[in-house]
Amino acid sequence: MAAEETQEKGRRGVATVKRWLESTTFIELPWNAYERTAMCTVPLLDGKKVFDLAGQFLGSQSRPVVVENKSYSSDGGQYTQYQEFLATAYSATARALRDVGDTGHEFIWVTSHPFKLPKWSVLDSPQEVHEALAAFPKCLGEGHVVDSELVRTVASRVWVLVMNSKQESISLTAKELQQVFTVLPRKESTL
Amino acid sequence: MSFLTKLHVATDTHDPEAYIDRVKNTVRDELRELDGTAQVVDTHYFNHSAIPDFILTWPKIKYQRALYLRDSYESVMAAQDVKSLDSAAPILLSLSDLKSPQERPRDQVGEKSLITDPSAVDLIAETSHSGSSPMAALVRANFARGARGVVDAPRASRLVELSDSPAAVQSANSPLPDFVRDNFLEDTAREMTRTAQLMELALGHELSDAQEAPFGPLSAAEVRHLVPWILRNARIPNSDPLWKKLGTMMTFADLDAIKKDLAGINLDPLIRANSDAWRAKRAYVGLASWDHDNPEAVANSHWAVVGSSIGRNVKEERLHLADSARTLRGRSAQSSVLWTDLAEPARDFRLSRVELRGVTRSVAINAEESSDVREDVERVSESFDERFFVSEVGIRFPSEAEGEEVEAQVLLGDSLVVSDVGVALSDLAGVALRLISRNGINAKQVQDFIGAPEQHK
Repeated sequence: MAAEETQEKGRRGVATVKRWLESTTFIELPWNAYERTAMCTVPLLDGKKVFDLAGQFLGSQSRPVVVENKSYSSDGGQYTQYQEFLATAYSATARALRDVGDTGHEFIWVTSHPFKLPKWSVLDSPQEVHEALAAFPKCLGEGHVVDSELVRTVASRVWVLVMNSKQESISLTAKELQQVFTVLPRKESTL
Repeated sequence: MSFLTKLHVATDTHDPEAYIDRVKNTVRDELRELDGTAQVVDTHYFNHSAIPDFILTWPKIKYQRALYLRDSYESVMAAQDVKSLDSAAPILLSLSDLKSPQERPRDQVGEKSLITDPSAVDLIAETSHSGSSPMAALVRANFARGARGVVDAPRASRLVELSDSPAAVQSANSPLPDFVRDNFLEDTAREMTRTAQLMELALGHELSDAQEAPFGPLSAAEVRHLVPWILRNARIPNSDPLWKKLGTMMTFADLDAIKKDLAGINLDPLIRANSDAWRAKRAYVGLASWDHDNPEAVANSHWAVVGSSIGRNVKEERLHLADSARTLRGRSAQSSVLWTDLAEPARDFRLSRVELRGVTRSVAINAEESSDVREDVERVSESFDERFFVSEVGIRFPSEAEGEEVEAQVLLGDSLVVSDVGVALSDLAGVALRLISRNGINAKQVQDFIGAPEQHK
């Protein structure tokens, strides 16, 4: 597949995930890596990471969220990438704590195909975060000692979602969402 | 600074909240510049897949239009926005221009959506500054409300070029009508076609048999851009039925609302043709306003806007008419008008209430059962050895609804006639000139100042 075509496919996939998550009414994701890279970039203990989407949860406990989207038709090599995602989530949270305090970032992994089925139910556990940090120690930067309490916090902020393309057909349509938002006070001022 | 440059400045931040605030403020300002009649409401969402960034509404129109901000044409296409939103006829405003003509969307453009960009909006917004034709102004005024399709800079440029040419309206082979149909939603295209037809009629041209000018209410944009043009450029006599037709398509309040656009224009044909049909709420008689440096000035001898009101010099006084109390407040003095001076001209009106103020007593006479208290006032004034000044007179007029009446109060101290619901311009002017003016105007003269000319066909 030509690079341009791959890019176009990736862009469409990210747009679909954005539409799906926003149709829940709980999330808004105004930033995507293709157009506003800086808004999707999160500083780490060592370097930085560009996520596919960035935004926030809506409602009384509004908090920032970033989304990593994976389009697979098989298990593929996802688990390794997922481990890197977990290590990145920890690193981003530790960096924020060090520099500005806890931003409360949540980290959503959206995939079109499940992976590592024997461990599926514990993919967002503290143990998985520990293992991810062991697999990707570079994320910890120089001299950072892993904080088990922070590991638990990060694990609680990780989401693993599987999106089937058919799910869009049972999501609220744009028109329905506009009606819903007139009665749901997700933001102080809605439609 | 162009819209695109302003957006570049607005987006030059890594702070998400500042970014959104600055972009939205920039877009809102541009929308107001583009269409001054639109109310722009911020939904407080940004670049959401389903919830628009802004809702646009217009006075007197139930229709509203959603505006979605998008990063680029590519993001519009990737998100399949047209597929999910087209039925609601949204505006999808890309925050960046097309990178190359090859990227112009060719499919998935929908039937009702407008997909546009900053440079196209800039081009459209500039039209009315150069505009020799109201079509150019209406292209601009109707763009946000009714444009559709992909309007990038080249297409916007063509639209401006076509609409700004006088020949575009008057030439039978003009591509403008087709272009309007292709680039505007059905209702808006119909309005703009009507504008072209009204311009032709005002220039004295006949419409072809196939053309039938629809005479429904004018939109706020049409009133603002078309009516001044017709008043300035019409080549038809004051007796032409078009003036009355125009009057059925708008109200005096509509005319009052565009006063700023009417400076130096003779309003006689429109006001006189509709003096029985149009209603106003206030009339004031003050000193005449003469432009001695320019004896030919229309305001010296015709209905025209002077200062903040529509009026006409009548001998040494000026009669002002308005639709709201904000324009005409009166002069707040005590009345020095004696009932003996008012009794004769008051015979032409049905009096519902008269307040008399003497040195030793004041009397208010109200019509409870009777339809006219004039004779009661006569009796009261004759039965006391007192000079009565009249501070207020209530007058009844027949209403449009059969069997019902509307009232106006003549406040002689203020030199005002006031009606909460409004009365016909001819009635309001008649009362003001007969009861407030000190120039001894008779009913025939009132007719000469405001009456409709005989129609010639």
